Amino acid sequence: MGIGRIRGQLLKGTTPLLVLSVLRDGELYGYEIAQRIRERSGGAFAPSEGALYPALHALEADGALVATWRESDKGPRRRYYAITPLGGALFEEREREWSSFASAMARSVVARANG
Amino acid sequence: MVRLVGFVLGSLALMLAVAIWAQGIAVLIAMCLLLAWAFYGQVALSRRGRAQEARRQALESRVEATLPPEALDYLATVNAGLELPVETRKEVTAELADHLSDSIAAIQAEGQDAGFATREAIARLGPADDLARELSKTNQSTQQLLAGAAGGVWSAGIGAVQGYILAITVFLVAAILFTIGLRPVVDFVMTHVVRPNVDPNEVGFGTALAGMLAWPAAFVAGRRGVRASSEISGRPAARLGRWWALAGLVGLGWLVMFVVTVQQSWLVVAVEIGIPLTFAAGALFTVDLRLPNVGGRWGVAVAVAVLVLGSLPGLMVASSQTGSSLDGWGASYSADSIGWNHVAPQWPDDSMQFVVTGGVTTPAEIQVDNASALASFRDLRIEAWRAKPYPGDPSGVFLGLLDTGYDAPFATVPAVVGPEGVIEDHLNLSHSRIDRWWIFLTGIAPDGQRYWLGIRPGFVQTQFSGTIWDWLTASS
Repeated sequence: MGIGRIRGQLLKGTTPLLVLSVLRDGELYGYEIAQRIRERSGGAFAPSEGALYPALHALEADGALVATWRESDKGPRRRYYAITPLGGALFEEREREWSSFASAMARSVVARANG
Repeated sequence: MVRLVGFVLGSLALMLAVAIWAQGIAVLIAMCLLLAWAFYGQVALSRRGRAQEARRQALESRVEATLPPEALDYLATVNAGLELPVETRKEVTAELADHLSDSIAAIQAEGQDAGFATREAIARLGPADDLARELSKTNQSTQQLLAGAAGGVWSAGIGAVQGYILAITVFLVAAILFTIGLRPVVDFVMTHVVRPNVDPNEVGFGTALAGMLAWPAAFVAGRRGVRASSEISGRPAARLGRWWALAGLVGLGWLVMFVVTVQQSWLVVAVEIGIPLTFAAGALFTVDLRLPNVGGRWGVAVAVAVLVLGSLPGLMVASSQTGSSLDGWGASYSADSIGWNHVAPQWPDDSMQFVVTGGVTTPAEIQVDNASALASFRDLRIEAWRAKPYPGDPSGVFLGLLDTGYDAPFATVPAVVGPEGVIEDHLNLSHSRIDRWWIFLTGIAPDGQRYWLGIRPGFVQTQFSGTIWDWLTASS
């Protein structure tokens, strides 16, 4: 089992949280979102680009994001995603869940290592 | 908001037109209001259509202009696998094209060649079928489906109103054109070229024409219902269209078959059945394609075709009435020329000065002043004999000839002389397709011969009224 595969499994289900996280700083289009996630994680997180767009569309359908077509800084029209107030609330909820999960995981893993 | 205002103005104009329909020039004013509204709506529609077209062209041209063939093949596979409305598919594909374009450029910037960059960018998005399946799932939910059904019903209702307004507008324009200019031409053609033998009263043209106005309404309703439910629910219009067509055939079919009560004829039955069929056609055929621009070539062509085809029935009716006259009717008829004596000889004794009256919605009555005169007759009967239009009166409104093609009445009951010499016929003719007949009082005289009695029999002219089911199950 390679490192990439492990990362893929760990990242499964966290893509919406990562998306909401980067969009809190402003609206972005799909490729920018993937790049921003990669940059923020120092290259540690490389979300499957194939999973990114279903996640974006699901968040949009849930009302967490709103998408609009407009000209990008580089010229061509892009589909920009922006977080909505509902998306902000969803992010905070998911963030708390993830923090609790991560803390519990860290405690469990560290305890086993020390034990 | 703009469309709402236009719709309200159009509705007001329509109501105004109906309210002042019978007052001549005012109809033209109402027509102008209607046409102004139609123009207003056409501008709004074409503006929206142009915006959508510009967006579509921008999306498609960009994809074709910048991506290598391998990437375009990938996008085509994704597009084909998306079970989504056409517009959504285009949008998703355009978004993925943007992504591939950026991704390929970034990989090339790292020093890779174009071929590798394309394959790598595609690999990062994953198998096209999987991506299409995931994207389809995320754009569809049961909640969306329910919302789509509700939105579709609402949109279908709006579409029905729009289609009906369109049909009425076309009809009014056709009527005006016919009145002001086409009548002589049509009269000439119908008199010297076509010579149709149309009896508008016989076939229920008026009711049929009214029913035909519902066809465009049903077509637009079906189409708008499917498209709205498709857009809201995220399901392909072609797939939803089958269910909408089925629902329309069952729902509207049930309405016209068992609920809607109108004056019936075989023509009217055909027109009524056409309503659910046109709804189904609107829901099924080319529902994925946008309607042609109202102001474009196709809009004009369709309008002209509808105008011509929609005008024909009315023109044929009007032409068939040309030259009709009742001149000479009052002077020339006799018991023989009308055919009364085909039933039996008239009782020659002038002691029976009565006529048969009523019989359409009320029982026919025979007021016999000299009831004792009937005492010598036995086996008194009320007999209903088929009639046919008088040749000089194609409308058949006034009187008819006895149909001598029949040797027996189609209905008969014993005649019972009631109090004060009144005979009520009690013939049950409400479930019969026969629309005109003569009612006779007959009896067998002491000489053993049956005669019809009184001054003249009663003429009944009516039109079958009921549902299609009533018509199909009625006796003929």
